[in-house]
Amino acid sequence: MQNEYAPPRVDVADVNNVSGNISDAMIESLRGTKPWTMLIAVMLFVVAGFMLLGTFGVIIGGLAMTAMGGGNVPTEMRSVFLAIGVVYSIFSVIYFLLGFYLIKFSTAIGRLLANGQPAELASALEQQRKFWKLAGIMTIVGIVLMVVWIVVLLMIPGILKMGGLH
Amino acid sequence: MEPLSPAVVTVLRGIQPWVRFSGVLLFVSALLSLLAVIDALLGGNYLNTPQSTSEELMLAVLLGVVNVFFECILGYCLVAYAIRIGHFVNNGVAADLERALNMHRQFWKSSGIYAIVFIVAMVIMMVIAMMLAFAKYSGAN
Repeated sequence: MQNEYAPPRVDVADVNNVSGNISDAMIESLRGTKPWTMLIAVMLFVVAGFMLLGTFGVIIGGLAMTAMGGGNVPTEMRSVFLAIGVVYSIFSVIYFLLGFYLIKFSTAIGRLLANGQPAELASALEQQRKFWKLAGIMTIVGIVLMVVWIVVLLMIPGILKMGGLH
Repeated sequence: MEPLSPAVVTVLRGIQPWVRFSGVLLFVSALLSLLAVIDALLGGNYLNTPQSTSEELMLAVLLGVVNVFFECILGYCLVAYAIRIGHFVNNGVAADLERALNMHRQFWKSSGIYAIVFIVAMVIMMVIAMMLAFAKYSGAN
């Protein structure tokens, strides 16, 4: 239901009354930002690389265990190795994407510093928007998974107890 | 100097909620880290295992304090960045964008320094752990 007593309001996304130019202070801030975003991007790529190595390590470890154990390796153990490998590979992709957006942000800043075109500022900020959106969504997913994990851990003793009673 | 385009405002409007969310989460994380440090100082067992020595506990507390310090700085930078984006989006004054981008620069600079400190601390701890293990092994033989 609409509030009849609310003050009049216009909220139009495509009408922006922007005044001013891309100032020297903005350029200097972006110039100072670039090396740090590059550094973090490289670190994110390194972490993604380690995660990928971890994925291969877990898969090879699981296969080796199955090969050496013959039919004695329980199916649950193989499933655990597979699950860890899948989680590692997902994290690897996420870290890679975060690094990728930061690199694109840094290169757009570089173009802005070279050409001074205002479109490059919008381009750089667009990469930043993608970075923060992905980081935010992944944080929400992480928090939800953590809560689910805590609930599951709290329920396990109860389930085991009920199983024992029956 | 080139004029600012309205596209900048549209993009910043998309950035603001995610940046504010991350900033608030950093403060929450800092609070949890602080609780862990206080727990360790009061003799709790969150950072302090029964096997750990007093030196190891002090190292864990020190790293915890450094962590709280950096998380507070990073959270402050992000929340301030989000607030200044809000001012720019609402008023369209270029000076607000200058302040926002300056806060953004401070955030990434602090993140970079935090990452370097973290890596250096990790390397130092690995070297100390290797030296202690070597000394223990030499003493046993």
